[in-house]
Amino acid sequence: MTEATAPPPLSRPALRGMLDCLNVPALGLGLTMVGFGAMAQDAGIALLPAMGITAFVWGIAGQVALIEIHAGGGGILALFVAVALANLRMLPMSVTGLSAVLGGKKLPFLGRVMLMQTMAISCWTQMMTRSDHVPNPQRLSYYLGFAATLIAAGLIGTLVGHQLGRVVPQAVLTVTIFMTPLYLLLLISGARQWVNRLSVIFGILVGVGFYPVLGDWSVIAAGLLGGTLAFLSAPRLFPNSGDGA
Amino acid sequence: MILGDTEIWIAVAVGALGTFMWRVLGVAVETRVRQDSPLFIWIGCVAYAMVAGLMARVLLMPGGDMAPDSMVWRFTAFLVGLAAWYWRGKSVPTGLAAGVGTYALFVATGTA
Repeated sequence: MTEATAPPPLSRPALRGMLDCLNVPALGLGLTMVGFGAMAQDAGIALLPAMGITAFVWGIAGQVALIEIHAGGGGILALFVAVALANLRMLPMSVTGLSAVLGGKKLPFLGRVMLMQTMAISCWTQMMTRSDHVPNPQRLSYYLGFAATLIAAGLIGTLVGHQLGRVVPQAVLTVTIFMTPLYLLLLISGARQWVNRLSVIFGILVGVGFYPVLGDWSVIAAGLLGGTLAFLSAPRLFPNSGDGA
Repeated sequence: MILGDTEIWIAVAVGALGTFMWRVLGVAVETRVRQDSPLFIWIGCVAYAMVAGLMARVLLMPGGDMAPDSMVWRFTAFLVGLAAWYWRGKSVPTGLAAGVGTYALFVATGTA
């Protein structure tokens, strides 16, 4: 953390995390999962396994990959590879997100793994760019409140979508599916350090530009190629910002 | 149809493994890399770029829809949101309202 001054303590950090989540993050994810629940129902997947996919795969890209391959009879190995590919981002997100969540607290390895199992893009972005108001000793409570609320929203959304089908009008879903990525892109575009803002720009260019050729692999290309370009060019472009390597 | 069969639960378990392993690996790497090292900064760059690349793809081409028309409207709404965000001192609520509002207008009028 690079805050110049420590923020004042929050009276109820876990509750604050819940309230901060009960906004664009929970609304966007909940409605996304309504779409997922309906999709699972269409694919002939029962309610509990559908909710199990939301709870344990926890990331819409991997969840959709799982359903598509399962419905298409693609086999266990193809399913594993597709979900693993869709979730590779969790590796760098866990490495960088863990200290933002712990705020200096010590937890055993298994505890840290369990914490990171609850990590999602919305949680990561919140902890990296939108939690300057949370003092270090309260970050874990704040995160738990935020993450638990997000998971609850995801499970409720899956349940509603599965039981009621396409209860949400298609136009509303279309707009919602636009809202979450825009929200998260705006948040990460405001990253504190130039090297990370550059990563966002290069990531967008590579991720979108290579998608027609690479398909889902373009996310990995965006990370490795875009991230490395930003890492290498930031010290040259912004020699006085004190960010880069 | 609530519980599901064994086959789907095996798929759930395999899918869970496909995400769990990266998170375990992430925690293992985190304990071995110093926070002020170039390696840690590079991993951060990769994380930001991956999230940005995925979100931009979902925003412009949701579900792999690459029809040029809908991409143009999505991109226009994205630019409106980005511009509003920037000009109002990087205000996320403003940028979000402008971008989503523009896109909702396109959807409501049947352009997108």
